[in-house]
Amino acid sequence: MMILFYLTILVLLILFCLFLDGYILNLQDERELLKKELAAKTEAAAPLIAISAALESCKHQTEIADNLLSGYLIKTDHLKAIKTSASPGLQINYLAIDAEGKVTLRGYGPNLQSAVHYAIKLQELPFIGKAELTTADLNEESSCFFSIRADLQQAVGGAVTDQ
Amino acid sequence: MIALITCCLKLGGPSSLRDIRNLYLDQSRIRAEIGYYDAIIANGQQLTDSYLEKEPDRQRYTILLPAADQQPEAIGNLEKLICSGPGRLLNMRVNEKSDYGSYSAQNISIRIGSLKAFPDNLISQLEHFPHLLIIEQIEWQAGEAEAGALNLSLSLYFLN
Repeated sequence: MMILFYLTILVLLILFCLFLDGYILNLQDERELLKKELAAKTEAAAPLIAISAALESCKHQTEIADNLLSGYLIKTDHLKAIKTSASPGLQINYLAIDAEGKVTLRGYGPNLQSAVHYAIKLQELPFIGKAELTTADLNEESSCFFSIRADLQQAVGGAVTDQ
Repeated sequence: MIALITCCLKLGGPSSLRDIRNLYLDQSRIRAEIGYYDAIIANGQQLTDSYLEKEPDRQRYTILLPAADQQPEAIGNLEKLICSGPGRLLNMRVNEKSDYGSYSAQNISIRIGSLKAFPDNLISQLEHFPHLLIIEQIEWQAGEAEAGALNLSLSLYFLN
């Protein structure tokens, strides 16, 4: 009776082991199939991943360029406007703009009024924050030597289109 | 008999259960990866369209912000531009490069003499330089006859 009991347990165990073995083999086969599917999908998606990376890189470049150009101050148009704002007869012989956008202008004109008028015209330019006449000296020869200080504001609209 | 049972337990015991668990984990990981690629493939047409639409912009920005290995060529082009411009090039100095992580800035200082007037054309050409070039500082001094001088501090930007 005992032997029969042990034999039954043994048979059940063997069956259980066979079942587990088969189940593991089945899972391994499934895994292999999934691996093949993954390889095919990886291959199919590779060009799209490259496109995605290129788009991301472009976005990154755009961000950097826009960020740098948002602080771009010294533009040809600005320089031209600064010079053409001077009334006829007024000569500019020094123009400097530093990294912070501080403008220094020096020159001479026929009278004090022309120098003051120039500072006011500069102040009216959209990219000038503040312009003030720092010195204006009228000499014996009726020449007025002036010095103007102004602040350039951030370029409106950026300069991406220019470069 | 006992030996046989022990052998069966070993075969179908904890190690086999661990194998099954590992296989399940492997499968779920692979399925997740397949899901990721499926999403990319499903979005393929949209990605391709977007790429084609942005291609001109991409090419433009690649020129605007070149890779660091294009630095010699870019500086060479700038040198040609300055040398072909008005006045006499007195000095052109390439200063230390500043690294900002994803990009770097090459500072260049230029001194030009013998200028008759303010070099509007040169400034305009610098502004339209194909690579991202920012005029950081400018100092122009008019002089008698052709004694005018121009000091420029420029930054040329590169993608790291």
